[in-house]
Amino acid sequence: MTPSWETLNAYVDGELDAEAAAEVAAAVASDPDIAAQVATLTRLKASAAASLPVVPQIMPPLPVLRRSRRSRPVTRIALAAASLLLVVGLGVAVLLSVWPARDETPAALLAAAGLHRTWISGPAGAAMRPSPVATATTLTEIPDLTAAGLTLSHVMPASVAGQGRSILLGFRGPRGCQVSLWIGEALPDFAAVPVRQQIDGLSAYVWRVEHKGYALMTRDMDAQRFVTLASAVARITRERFQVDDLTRMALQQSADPALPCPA
Amino acid sequence: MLRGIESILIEHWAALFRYALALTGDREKARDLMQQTALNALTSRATAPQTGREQSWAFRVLRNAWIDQYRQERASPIVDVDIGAAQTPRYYDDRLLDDMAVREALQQLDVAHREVVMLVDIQGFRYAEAAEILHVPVGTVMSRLSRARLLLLEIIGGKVEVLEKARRRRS
Repeated sequence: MTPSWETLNAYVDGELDAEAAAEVAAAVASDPDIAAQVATLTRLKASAAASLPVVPQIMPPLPVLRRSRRSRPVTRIALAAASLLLVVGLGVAVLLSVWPARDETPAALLAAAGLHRTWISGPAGAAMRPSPVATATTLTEIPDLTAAGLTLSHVMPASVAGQGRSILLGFRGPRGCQVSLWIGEALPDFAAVPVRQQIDGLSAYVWRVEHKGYALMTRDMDAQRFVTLASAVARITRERFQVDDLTRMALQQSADPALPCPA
Repeated sequence: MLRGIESILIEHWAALFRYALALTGDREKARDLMQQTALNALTSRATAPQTGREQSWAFRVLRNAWIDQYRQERASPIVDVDIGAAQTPRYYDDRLLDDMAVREALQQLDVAHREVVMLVDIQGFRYAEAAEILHVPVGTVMSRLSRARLLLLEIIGGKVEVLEKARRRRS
């Protein structure tokens, strides 16, 4: 009996049981027409498999959720959770808050948060006075965030007694965004990937690279932008402050012109 | 669980994106669909995956998100493509088959046929897994796939020639 077209398809796909497959194999062996059909199907299947559309090696940046009337309401947590997927290859920031209470937050980070608040509460465009010493000792450790539209505004010493030396870098964007990067000694709670924290009312991501600790903090930046930025900055710190193409793409993605920081 | 789902999405991101492309036929729409898929998966709008079936689970979440989008637009994403059996081609000139031709022909298929080729030929799902993703019986996958391949051959070759015609040409 001549196998049907469907059966030949299933044969090529390896979906027939042993008995049915043997019947088709016998038909292929005895009938050149059936053999030709199987050959055609095999070639078509191989060509289809080879027709993979080109997909970026990293997850394509997810667009900001459109705020159309048809959009489902989503929480900021959900928004941030989805934004975790922006930066595969950069290391994924984690949505956790391990220091929910102010008195559990390391003093060094509280001090850094205080400095950041002082800075952002000043007049627009103001920069805190950079410390020449801090600048001189950290010039090799200032990440280049220009691809994100953020330029260095100041470098401040932010050391706290008993917790080693630390500095705070202030970055400012063209539309009012201000973020600070704290660099100091890593504390035992610091993870290798950026972990979201609330530090004295500021949004922050905290991570470590070997013995160094980092905390990126902001008050007003959109959550989705901030997680992208944090993941990119974390990659920069892991890559010895080199900005490769992957990181530059993420930085550019974080510079969403539709989401200026509120005044 | 959030970390687990996140890992699944990351691991299968490229494959999911290809599936989104197959469904939407447009990179921008595929990106939007991926976003909605991630949201649905991470915010528990989808049931948790079973161990060992994470990939088909992720594909199902994506497809459900795609169907939801169509429902919001009050349109049916899938027309009935499973009526009648596929006619068996008797002869086909395999020289017409190359990767580029197949790629272009795939774009001309309707979405129901394109996605079953995508799932089985490109993504390598078994019929049963594809049936689970598509919410159809295995037999439907089998018939839809065989019809899809026939359509591909017709698109590439214009019309499938019958054996007798081929024989006349060879003689």
